Amino acid sequence: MDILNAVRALAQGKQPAADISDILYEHGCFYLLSMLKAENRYTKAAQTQAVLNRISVRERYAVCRPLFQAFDDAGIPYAVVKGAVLSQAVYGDCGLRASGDIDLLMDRRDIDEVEAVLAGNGFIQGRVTDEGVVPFTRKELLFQTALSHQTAPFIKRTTNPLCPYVNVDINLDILWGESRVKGDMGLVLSATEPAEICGAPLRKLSCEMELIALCLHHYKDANSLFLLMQNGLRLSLFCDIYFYMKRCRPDLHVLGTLCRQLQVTAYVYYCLYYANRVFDDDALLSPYLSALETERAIGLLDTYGLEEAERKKWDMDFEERLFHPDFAGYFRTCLTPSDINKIQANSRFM
Amino acid sequence: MDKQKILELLGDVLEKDVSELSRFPEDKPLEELDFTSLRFIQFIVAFEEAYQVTVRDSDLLMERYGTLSGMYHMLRKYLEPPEPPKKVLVCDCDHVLWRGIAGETPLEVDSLTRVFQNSLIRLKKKGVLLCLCSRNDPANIDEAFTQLAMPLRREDIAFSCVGRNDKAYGLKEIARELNLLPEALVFVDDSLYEIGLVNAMLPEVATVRADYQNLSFINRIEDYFWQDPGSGSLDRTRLYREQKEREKQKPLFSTVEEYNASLSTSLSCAPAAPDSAARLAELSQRTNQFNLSCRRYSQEEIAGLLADDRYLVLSLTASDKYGDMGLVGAAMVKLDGSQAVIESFFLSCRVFDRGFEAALLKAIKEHSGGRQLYGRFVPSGKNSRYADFYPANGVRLYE
Repeated sequence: MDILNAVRALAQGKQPAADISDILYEHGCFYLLSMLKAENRYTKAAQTQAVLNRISVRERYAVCRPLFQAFDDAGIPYAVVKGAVLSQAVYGDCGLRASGDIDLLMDRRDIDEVEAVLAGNGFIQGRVTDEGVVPFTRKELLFQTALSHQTAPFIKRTTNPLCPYVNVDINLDILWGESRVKGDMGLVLSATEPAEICGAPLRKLSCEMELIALCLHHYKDANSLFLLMQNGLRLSLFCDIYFYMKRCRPDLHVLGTLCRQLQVTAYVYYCLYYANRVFDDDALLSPYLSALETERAIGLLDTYGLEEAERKKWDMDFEERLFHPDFAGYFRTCLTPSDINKIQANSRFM
Repeated sequence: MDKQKILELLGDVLEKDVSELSRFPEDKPLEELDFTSLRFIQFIVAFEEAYQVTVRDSDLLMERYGTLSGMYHMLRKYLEPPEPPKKVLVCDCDHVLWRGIAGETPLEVDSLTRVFQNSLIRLKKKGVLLCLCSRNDPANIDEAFTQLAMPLRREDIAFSCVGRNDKAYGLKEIARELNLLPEALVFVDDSLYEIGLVNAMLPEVATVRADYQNLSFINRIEDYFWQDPGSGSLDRTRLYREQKEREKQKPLFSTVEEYNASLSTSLSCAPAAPDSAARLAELSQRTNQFNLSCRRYSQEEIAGLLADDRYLVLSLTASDKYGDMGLVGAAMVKLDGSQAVIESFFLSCRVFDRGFEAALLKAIKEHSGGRQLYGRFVPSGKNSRYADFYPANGVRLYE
C-alpha cells in the first residue's frame, strides 16, 4: 500500500513520503519520475532517456513525414498510434514514453498500396544486422503478415548515430491476433484527426477512439500469457490510461457508443477499473465505470489470459502481483503445460 | 483454373490424398481437415512456388481460404487474366443499407450494416461510383438518409433510381445515366427474387446478395473493384457531377467546337510522364467502349513502354471551367522503321463526343515523324461504335 500511496500522492502533485524512484524507473513511469523533486540516479537516468527519446522521435518523424503526405495524397486512411503520439497526448511531451518505432494503424485492404509507398520511400521489410538491413525471406514475411495483426517491420537507415534506423510497424487491427472479434477498421479509421509531432503533420485517432486503442493494447499487455511472462505487469500501463483520462476527458456518450459498436466495452472497463485501483480517483473515473459496467466486464476482473479457453483467476492480490519482486517466478507457477507450450510457440514466432 | 493442381498442392500440405480432397464439399470448412494457420502458410508457399506468383499481402487473410470455394475464389486472380474492374456499385436500401423498411418499420444502422456502409465509403474513396436502386418511395429513402445517424451520406451517392419500376429497369437507367455499359455495374440486394430477376434480364451485371449472416459478401463486392497498388484514386462522384453540369450546356450549341469553347476547354496531348504509369494502367483496364485494341496493361508494362525508345506513349489530359478531368486518354505507338503502329488507343467514357480523340490522333501524327501510320483494331463487342475510327481518319488498319 505504501507504494500505491506514494504513486497517488505524486499524481496529485505532492512529493511522496517513500522513495519509489527505483520502482518507477523499473516500471517505465518516466512522467511520474519527472515529477519527483529529489534527484538520484533513477531520475537522472530517466531525464537522459527522455532526451534520447526526443532526439529519436525527431529523426523518426522527419524520415516518415513523406509517408504521411503520401497516404494523404492517395486517400489511404491511417492513424499514427502508440509511441510519441500517445506520449504527447497523455503527458504533453513526446519523450516521456519509451518507444522504438512508429506504429501506423491501417486497413488490411490498403496494405498493398501502403507497402508500395513504404518501398518507394526506401523502407525495407527486414531485420537489422551488422551488415545493415537484411530483407526477410518470403516465408518469414508470410508468417508475420498472415498470422498476426501486424506486418513484418519496415526499416530505413538514417545518418543519425543516435537513431541509426527508423522502424515502422503496420498494425492491421486494434485487437490482438487471436481475438475472435475483429475491429471494424472502417469505423476505427473514420475517427481520426490532424496532429503534429516535431513539425510533421499526421493523422491520429480522435480522443475516444485513441483511448479505446490504448486500453486494448494495454489489456493485451496485462493479459497475454506470453507478454506477462516476458514483461510482467507494469505500472506504466495504468499510468498511461489514468493520465490519458485526466488530460483528454473523453466524451462518455461517444466512448460508450464506440465501445458497443466495436464490442470492446469489457476490455475498456477492465483498464479503467485498474487505473482507478492504482490512482483511486473516483471523481474522475466513476462516471465512466458506471456507464461501462456489464456482467462480462465484471467477469474479466482479477483474471488473466486473452481468450476464454485460457482465462484463469489470479490467486494473488492486484497490488501484490503488480509490485512482485519476482513476478516471472511467481507467474511460472500459475501456468499449465498447455500455457507453457503456447508461450514457447510464441517465443519461436516472435 | 486448374482445380486439380490446387488440390494436389493442398493435399501435399494436409498429407491427404487428392481423391479424398476432391470429394470434400467445396463449401465445407477446411478446418475439418486440420487446415491450421501453419498449414495455410505452407500452402501459400507451395502455391507461389508452383505458379511463380506472389500472393498480395491484402489477400493473406486465412479466413478467406476457409473453404475450397473460398480458396479457388482467392487464387483465381493469380491464375487467370483478370476481368476489368467494375465501376459502379448499385445498392438496394431496405435491409441492405439499414435494418428495416423505410416508411414502414423502425430503421436501425447496427454494427453490421455500419461495417457495410464503411466499406461503401472506402470504395467511393477509391473511385467507385455509388448508386441506389430501390422500389421504395423516394421521399422515404431521402428521409432515412436525413434521420439516421450513419456513415453514408446522401452526397456520397452519385445517382439514384428509386421508385416503382423493377430493379432491372433501374439498373439500365443507371448505366444509361452514367454513360456506361451494364457490365460495369455490381448490384447488391437482400432479395433472392430481385437478384434472380437481374440475373435473368441483365446477365452482364454482377450480383451479390447482402446476407448479414455471413459478412463475406462484403469481400466479394470489394473484389469486383480491384485496383493496382499505387494507382491512386479519383473522386469520380465529383467528376460525375461536373459532367452533368457540362451536359446541361450541350444542347445550347450546334457544334462540338462551340461547346468546348464555351466551357473554356483546355487539352494537352504529350509524351506521358513516368509518374503517370499507374493512371495509364488503370485507364487501360477500365475503358471498354473507346478502347480500340482492348489491350490491358499493368503498371509495370506501362513503365516498360515508357522506358523503351521504340515506343511513343502519349497521354491526353483535359480541363474546363467545371474542373480538372485529369488524364482521360492515351495511345501506345510502336515506332518501327518507316511505320508507326498505334497498338492501343483508349479514351475515358467521361469525355465521349467532345472531339478529344481527334486531338490525340493529331498529336500521334505530329510525334510520329512522318512515318506511315497504322492502327490496331480488335473488335470486342463493346467497341463496335468506334470500329471505323481509324479508316475514317486516314489511318490504315494494321492486320
